[in-house]
Amino acid sequence: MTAPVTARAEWSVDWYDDLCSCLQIDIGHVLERAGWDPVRALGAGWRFWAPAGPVEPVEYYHPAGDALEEFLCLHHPVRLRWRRPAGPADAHRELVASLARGVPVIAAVNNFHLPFRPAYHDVHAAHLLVVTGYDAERDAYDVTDPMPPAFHGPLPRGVLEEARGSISVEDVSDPFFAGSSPAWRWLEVRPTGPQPPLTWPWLREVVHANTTALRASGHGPSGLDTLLRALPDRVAEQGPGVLREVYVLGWPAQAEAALHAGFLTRAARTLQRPELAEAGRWVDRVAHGWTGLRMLAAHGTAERQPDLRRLLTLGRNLVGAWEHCLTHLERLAGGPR
Amino acid sequence: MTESASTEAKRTHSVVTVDLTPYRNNIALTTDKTLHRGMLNVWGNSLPAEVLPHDGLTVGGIPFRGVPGGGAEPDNVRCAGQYLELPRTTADWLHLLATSERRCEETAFVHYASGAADPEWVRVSDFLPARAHFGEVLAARSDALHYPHHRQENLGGRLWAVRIPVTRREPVCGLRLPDNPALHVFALSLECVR
Repeated sequence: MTAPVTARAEWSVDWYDDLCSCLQIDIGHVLERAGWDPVRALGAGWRFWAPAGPVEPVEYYHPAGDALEEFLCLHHPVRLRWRRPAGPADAHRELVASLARGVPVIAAVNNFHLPFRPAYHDVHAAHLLVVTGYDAERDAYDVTDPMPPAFHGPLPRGVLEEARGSISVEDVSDPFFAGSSPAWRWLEVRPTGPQPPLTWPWLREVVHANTTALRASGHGPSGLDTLLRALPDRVAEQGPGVLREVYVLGWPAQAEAALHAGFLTRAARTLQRPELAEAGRWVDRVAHGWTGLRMLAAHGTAERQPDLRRLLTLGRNLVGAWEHCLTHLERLAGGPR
Repeated sequence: MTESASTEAKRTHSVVTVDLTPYRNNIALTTDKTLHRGMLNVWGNSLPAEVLPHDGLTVGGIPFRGVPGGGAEPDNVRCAGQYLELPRTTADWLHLLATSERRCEETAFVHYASGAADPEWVRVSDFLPARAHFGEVLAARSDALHYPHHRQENLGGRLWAVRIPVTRREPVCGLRLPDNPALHVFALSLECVR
C-alpha cells in the first residue's frame, strides 16, 4: 500500500537539511542542546578548501582535518576538537568525563554494529552519533542519532564499544564509507561563550570575511577549478577510483553551502531584509550545483572509462555559479558599514 | 497601497499525458524479489514498486501515466540530456513526476514548434527523507526503502510533482532534459489552461 502523504518526520531535528552529513547535523544538535541557534552557528561562515592530502572514506570527512575550528562554526565561540583515545578503557573514561561536564560526545562508529541503522549487519560504513548520557547501573549509554531514520534511546555499552572500535579497513561493502576505522575517536563540541546576536552589521562583516576567504587562491571556486583540472591526469594514473574523492569531499562543501543559504534565508526574515533571501538563493544554487558533480563522480568510480568531459562540464557549471554567487555576496557586503 | 479586484472566470484544464517508454533507462522501483536490480542511486537503493500505481496517478488534479514497476524493466528516465519529443500542442505547464538523489536544480530547454527553445529551471527535492525544498507537491511516499539485500521499514522514499512553466504562447514540441544523473523522471504530463 502507498503510505498516505503526510508530513511525518524521519529526522529528529527540525532544522534538518538533507544535504548535510552526520558531521554538521550532530554538531548542530549538540549546539542546539546548549541553547544555540544551530543554523546560525553552522551557517554564518562559509569556506571551501580543496584538500591536498588523502580523502578519508568516512561520511564525516572534512578537508579541515583537525583544524575544524577554522572551517566550522566561524564567528562563534565554540571548541571543536577531535579526541583519539588509545583504547576502549580510555574511550569510555573520556566519554563519561565529558558527559559529567555536561558536554555530549559525538562518537565515530561503524554502522554495521548498530541495530537502528539501515546498514546493520549489512555493510560497514563510517558514521557519527551523539552520546548524551551513561547509566552505570544498566551499563548503557543514551544515544541520539538525528540522521534518518532517527533514533533516540539506550544502547548497551558493549554494542557502542563494538561500533566505536570495530576495525574494518579491509572491508569494501560500502563503496564510499568503508575501509576506515572509527578507532575510538570522538568530537568535542563545546560553546565557550554566548552565541553572537544576529545583527545587520555583524552579518555584513561575516559575509565580507566569507567572500574574502573564498576568493583566495586554492579556496572557493578557484580551489574547485584547480581540483577539476588535475582530475584527468589523476584518473589516468590512478584509475577511476580517485573520483570517489570528489563525492566524499563534495559532501561537506555541499552541506556547508546549504547551511549558509539557510542562514541567509532565515536572516532575511529576522532582519526584514529581502536582499538576504536573494543572496541565500544564489548560495543555495551553489549547494545544488554539487549534486550532479558528486553523483556523476560516484557513478564514475564503477565505470572502466568514466565520462570525464561530462564530469568536468558539470564541475565548470558549478564554478561559474559560485563565481556569480560571490559577486552577488560582495555587493551585499560592500558599501559603508 | 494595494488594491484588489476579483473577477470570475471559467477555466478549462486539459491534460495530455506523454508516453516515456522509449526513453526509460533506469530501474528505481523494485519488489522483494528484485531488490538487487535497484539503480536509484549508486548504493543500489530503490523504492518499493507499490509506491506508484500501475494504472496511473493523479497529483494536484494532474493525471500521470502509470509506470511499469517491479524491477523487470526500466521505469524512469535518468537524466543525461535526452531530448523528449512532445505532442505539438499548446501548454502552460509541463508537469513532471520526478525524484532526485540529493536535491537538484538544473535547466531544461522547452522547445517550441516555432523553432524557439527557452531554458527553464527544473527543481526536484531528494528521494530520501527530505522536505519539499522547492515548494513542490509530495506525490507519493513509500513506507520502506529497498536496499540490495534487504527492505528497510522505517525509512521512506519520496516522489515529487514539479512543474516547468511554458512561457511562450506557442505550441510546444520537445523538452531537453538536464544532464544530471541524480535526476529521475517517472512521468510527464502537459497541462493547458484556457
